[in-house]
Amino acid sequence: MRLLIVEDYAALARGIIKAFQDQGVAVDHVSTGQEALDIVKLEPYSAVILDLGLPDMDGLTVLKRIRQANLTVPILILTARDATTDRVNGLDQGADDYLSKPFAVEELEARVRALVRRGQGSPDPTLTLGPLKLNRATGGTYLSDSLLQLTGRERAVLETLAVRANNVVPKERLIAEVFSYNDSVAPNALEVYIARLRRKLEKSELEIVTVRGLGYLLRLT
Amino acid sequence: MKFSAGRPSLRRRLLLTLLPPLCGILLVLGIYGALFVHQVVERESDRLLSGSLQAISETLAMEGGYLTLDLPPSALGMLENSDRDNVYYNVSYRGKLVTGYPELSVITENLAANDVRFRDGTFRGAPIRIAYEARLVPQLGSPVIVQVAETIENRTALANRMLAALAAGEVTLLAIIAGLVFWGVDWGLRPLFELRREVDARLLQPELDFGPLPVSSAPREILPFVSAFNALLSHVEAAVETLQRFTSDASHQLRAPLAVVRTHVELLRRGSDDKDHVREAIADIHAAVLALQHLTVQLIALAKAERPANENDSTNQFDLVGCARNAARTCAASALARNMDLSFETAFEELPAWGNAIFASEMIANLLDNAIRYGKAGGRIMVRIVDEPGVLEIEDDGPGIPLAHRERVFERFYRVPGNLDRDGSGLGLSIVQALSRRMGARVSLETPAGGQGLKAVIRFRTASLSPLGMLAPRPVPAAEELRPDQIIHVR
Repeated sequence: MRLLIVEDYAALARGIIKAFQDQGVAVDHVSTGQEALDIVKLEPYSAVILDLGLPDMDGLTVLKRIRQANLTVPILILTARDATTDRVNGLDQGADDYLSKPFAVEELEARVRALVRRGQGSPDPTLTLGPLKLNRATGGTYLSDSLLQLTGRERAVLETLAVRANNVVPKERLIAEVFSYNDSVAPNALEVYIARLRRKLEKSELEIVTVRGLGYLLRLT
Repeated sequence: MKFSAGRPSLRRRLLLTLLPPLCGILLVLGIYGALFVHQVVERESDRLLSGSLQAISETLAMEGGYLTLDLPPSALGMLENSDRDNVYYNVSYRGKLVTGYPELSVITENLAANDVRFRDGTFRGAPIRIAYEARLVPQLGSPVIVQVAETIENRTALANRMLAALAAGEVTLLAIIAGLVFWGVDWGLRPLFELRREVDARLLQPELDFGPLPVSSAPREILPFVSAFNALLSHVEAAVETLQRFTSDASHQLRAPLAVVRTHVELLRRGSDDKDHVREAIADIHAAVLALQHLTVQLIALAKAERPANENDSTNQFDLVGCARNAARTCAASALARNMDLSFETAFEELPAWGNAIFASEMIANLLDNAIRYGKAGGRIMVRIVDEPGVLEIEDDGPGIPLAHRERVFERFYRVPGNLDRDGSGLGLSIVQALSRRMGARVSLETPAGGQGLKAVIRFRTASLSPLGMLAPRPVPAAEELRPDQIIHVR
């Protein structure tokens, strides 16, 4: 899961980034509308958190341009204005959700997770694959009903693979979903996470298969 | 329709203007009508009376030395009427009654023949009308005088009937006109009622509608009123919009730092082992709280500054030099924190100005705060009281403000695009402007002589013409004699 945060207030952005990073979400942050428009097309973001009061252009303009570019990425508008017309405008112009400042961090997290799930076409927070149960709302991962200890990144990789179970997920795609621009990614970082996950899934009938030159695939043996 | 006491009523006004002249006209018409009625009744009745007289006179003749006379029924029948007027006659010759009622006095004067005349008289106490004429009868040397009289009940009754009809007509006319005024006012004011209905309908709407009232259906007479009302509406709309924008901006400005505080506090409560993160979060919270504090203080300052001007605001005097010097001293620390070179220069030792020292300090402090906040770090700030009474300049060598935005930066919460600063309240220049209005001073943003940075200029009204004399500006001695406290140089 990879998030784009468009927020010009650095102190607030730092808080939001921290909140999502702690959950193993890859977060990119930009502080102007133009940067947001440039970057949003480049990466497979699971969701965008968009502040409306940007220094260079109105957040609604950014929203409109993203939608005009035919990008369906879920967008949550974050703004300090709470006039009803602003909300209606935002939702009418293609935003998927709306949260006004100040907000509870938990609510922001929950709303973003819900958006991401809906964006992936499965509003049910629990993802089940054989003995694996992944609660995407709480982040809890269970293997045969016992809690599986995972780091945030490991969970993110597993979730990305599980969402597309039995399909090859290209390595680049995995990297793009799991790491943000600011993460200093060692060339073999992904392999390290895959290896750790394989070890943790060892005794189950789940298997991460490397398809050489194509990517990885999670399947039930 | 009720008239409430004391409230001017259009109907009453119209009635008061219309009815007295109307009554006057009707009175004149009534008098003229009454005279006319009398004349007509008199003339017609007299005509009948004279017809009857002539019919009798025609029958006068001499037969065998006797004067004879016939009383043809038709002659008296002419005078018959429902009121049963009594008819009397007599005939006299040379002053002597020949026949008829002796009560009718005999005419002795000389009358021209065949000339019917009339007079009023009484008969047994009742008023009568008498017609008489002299007739020459063959064989008689003198004319015979014939008189016919009738009581006047009929003609009086006729005249009264006509007068009553006239009066009834006039009263009816008066009533109709009064009614027309009532109804006409209603009818004439109907467009007003429609406007009122339109306004009432708007009051019921949840959202205030400041759109102009329809002018097309307004009659010419109330068009100026509707136009003025529409102008007022658009003024109110602008004021409400400004207020809404201000509230919304203020809420926006308050919510953003609150969001920072809440987010970081909630994250900290989850517990974190990352010392760096904790330190960073606390720094962010601190900065946000300071921004909130600054904003709150500035909001209150603005609310105070925007209060209506008080008479004392522009009639008090203060020493601009001392005031500016104090403000500069207060800001010196924050200038130092940004490694800026703050200096103070003055062309006068004392400069009395009109206004309030606290307001002036606040204006100068706000402009200095801007210079420190947005000027170049490590740059230069000059506070200068120039050799032109009342003019204070605050000059920095920072990025300045593009010409296109220099008017708008005085608007509350207006930010020059690209300004990412979050700690400024966005109210400083609004406060400066509001205070300068209260004191009758003027503020402008100019480009410094060097072309780089920004020069804020306040033109205070100087009090050099004060009758106190002692407050006349005292120029500073030549530069080499400057005492140390006349130039603050912070580095």
